[in-house]
Amino acid sequence: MFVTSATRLGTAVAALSLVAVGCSSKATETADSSSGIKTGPGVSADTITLGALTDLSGVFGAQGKIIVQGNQLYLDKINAAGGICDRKVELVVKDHGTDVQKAVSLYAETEPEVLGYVQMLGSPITSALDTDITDARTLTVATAWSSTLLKNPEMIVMGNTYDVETVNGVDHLAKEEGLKSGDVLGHIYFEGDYGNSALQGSTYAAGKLGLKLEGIQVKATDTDLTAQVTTLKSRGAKAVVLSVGPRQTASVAGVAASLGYDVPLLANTPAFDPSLLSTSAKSALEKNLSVMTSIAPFSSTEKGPREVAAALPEKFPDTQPNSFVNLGYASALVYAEVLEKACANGDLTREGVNAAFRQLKNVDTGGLTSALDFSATGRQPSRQTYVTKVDSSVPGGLALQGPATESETAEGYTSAG
Amino acid sequence: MTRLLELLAVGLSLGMLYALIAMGFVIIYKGTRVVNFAQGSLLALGAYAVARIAPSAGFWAAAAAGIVITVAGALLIRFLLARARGHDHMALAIATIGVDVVLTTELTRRIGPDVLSMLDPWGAATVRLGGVTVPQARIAAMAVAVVVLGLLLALFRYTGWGVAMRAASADAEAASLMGIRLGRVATVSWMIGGALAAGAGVFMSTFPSAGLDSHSSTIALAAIPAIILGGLDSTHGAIVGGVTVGMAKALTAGYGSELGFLGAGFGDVMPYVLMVAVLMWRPSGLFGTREFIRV
Repeated sequence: MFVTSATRLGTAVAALSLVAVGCSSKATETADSSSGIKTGPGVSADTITLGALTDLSGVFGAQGKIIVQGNQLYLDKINAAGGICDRKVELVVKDHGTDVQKAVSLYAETEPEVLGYVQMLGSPITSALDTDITDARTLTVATAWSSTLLKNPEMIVMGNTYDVETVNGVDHLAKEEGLKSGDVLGHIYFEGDYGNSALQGSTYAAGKLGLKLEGIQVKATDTDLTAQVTTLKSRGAKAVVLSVGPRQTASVAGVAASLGYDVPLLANTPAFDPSLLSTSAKSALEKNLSVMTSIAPFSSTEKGPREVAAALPEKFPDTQPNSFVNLGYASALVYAEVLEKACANGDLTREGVNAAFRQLKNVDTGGLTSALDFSATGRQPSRQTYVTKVDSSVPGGLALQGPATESETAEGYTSAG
Repeated sequence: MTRLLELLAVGLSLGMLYALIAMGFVIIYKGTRVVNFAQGSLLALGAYAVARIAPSAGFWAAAAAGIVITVAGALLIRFLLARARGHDHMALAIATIGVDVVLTTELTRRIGPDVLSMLDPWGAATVRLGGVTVPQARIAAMAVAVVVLGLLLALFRYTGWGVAMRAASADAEAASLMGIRLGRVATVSWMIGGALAAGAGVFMSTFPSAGLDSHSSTIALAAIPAIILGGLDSTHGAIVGGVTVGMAKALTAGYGSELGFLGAGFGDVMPYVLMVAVLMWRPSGLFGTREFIRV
């Protein structure tokens, strides 16, 4: 969901359709005379409608489904407590199947009815809809962490982007795994937004810590990474950063173990999936893989994740838990905070909602993420990252290693965007 | 030196798998004159069936079932195309792209974000041969590839079906007039093509790969430079082309940083560079039949 880069053709078609979309929406602002609250698209006297443009049927279908469940769990909780601004919050879920053209037309269809989007899954889709979201001012939670997302004033990024995540991760390797100045650091990364964002982070951290960076680019279709691991081994890389998909992570861990190449592996959020624990790479992953992430793992004992863990089996008993449900829950929580603030300001129009969003300096998600500060466009909402270790004995397969922290190395870092 | 040997071992084992995939393309092409672009989704279908059946029935029964299911899939395509008889081969090849899209979409939906394990008996075990570590799954893959490819070459040379296929491939009309049943040749070709796809799919999803995922059907595309390079209608060409592509990919990826001036990720481009170079020298591929046009 976070990884594929939009094909040129797709983007071109999307861009063309955007012209049409751009003309279709004229915000209709009205003042609700009874309560004195200004309202606009997606807000009626008794309902606030939010959209979720997600993937329920395509490559990222299972993740999309569980993120929607997370959204729904939180909105149910809010509605049970009386809603926001005396209004129920309703969710309109649309399935784009990670197809950019479909996503663009679904956006055009839903945009006039919703206030904003509590979920938009997939880098190619957020890229294609970027200018449209800015023009229509539909505040949107981007379910991805590319540093380019920070530039859009209407985009909510849940935590820090891949580059900061990677800087914090490399610093962790230096502090906890004994990586020192002069050592070689391997980095296997996908082409596109995700990999490049992470590479900026590892390049910066390697420079700061005096490491020699050995980067190798791979594609989502590369599944046997023997050649790449052999090369890093012969270069004497003391640790390897993985900004790839789950399947590549498993191949690297398995091949490294078979070559007797026993080094710490560090993965970004999208590089791990609990289903890897049923592959032959399981023991290698448990031994060496840490995952850096902005979202607390399902097994976290903080208040927020416990709340999710209690609510999920009640409402969705068949769901195999993973940290994406926490992401969905936290996204809805942040959106609800924005709406509460806008309500207090007496302005539930899109402009009012954006203004309220930028007034939020310290959103507490109860340990689902670290505290989030949305007060400025272009700035990381948080610079703290969780370190998690693979552990097949806990639900979701990842165990928290401590509170989210910002490393010293990351302090001077700013995203190039 | 060890690194070179290790990369050569990776290249050879990968190359043998490409040879299996390429052989599937070539046999279907020889029997029917259709390039089957649905070979990739057949490959994923076979591996998917094995992954789903193996937990209850064990790997070997699942592998057998996977082959049967993929052969049935290939036959289904063959009869779909037969309904469109009279069209030229280019139209039929494009129809297989349609089949590929449908099958891949359904498999993608079923696989979702999961990485499905084959539950094969080799797991992540390896052996050391002369200082080089080779996964047992890859040794098994090479052994299977050598036996299967050897059998197929013998079939072409020594059996009536082999002669019929070569005749049909050389001149369908004349072969038909000589009493060769083209329909039967086509059916057997599709069956063999399907079985080869299933076998390659299983071994492409065993260690060092993590398993089958929703991207797996694109693996077959990597074999396309192999068949063009070797010659679209040559079984020997498929083997040579497959091994060449495997070696080229492994060596370019392994020495990627020394070849940094070519740009990152050049391993994926290298097979196509080789393909173009060979086509400039021999327009029908290394072993392909040259076309003569008499005026």
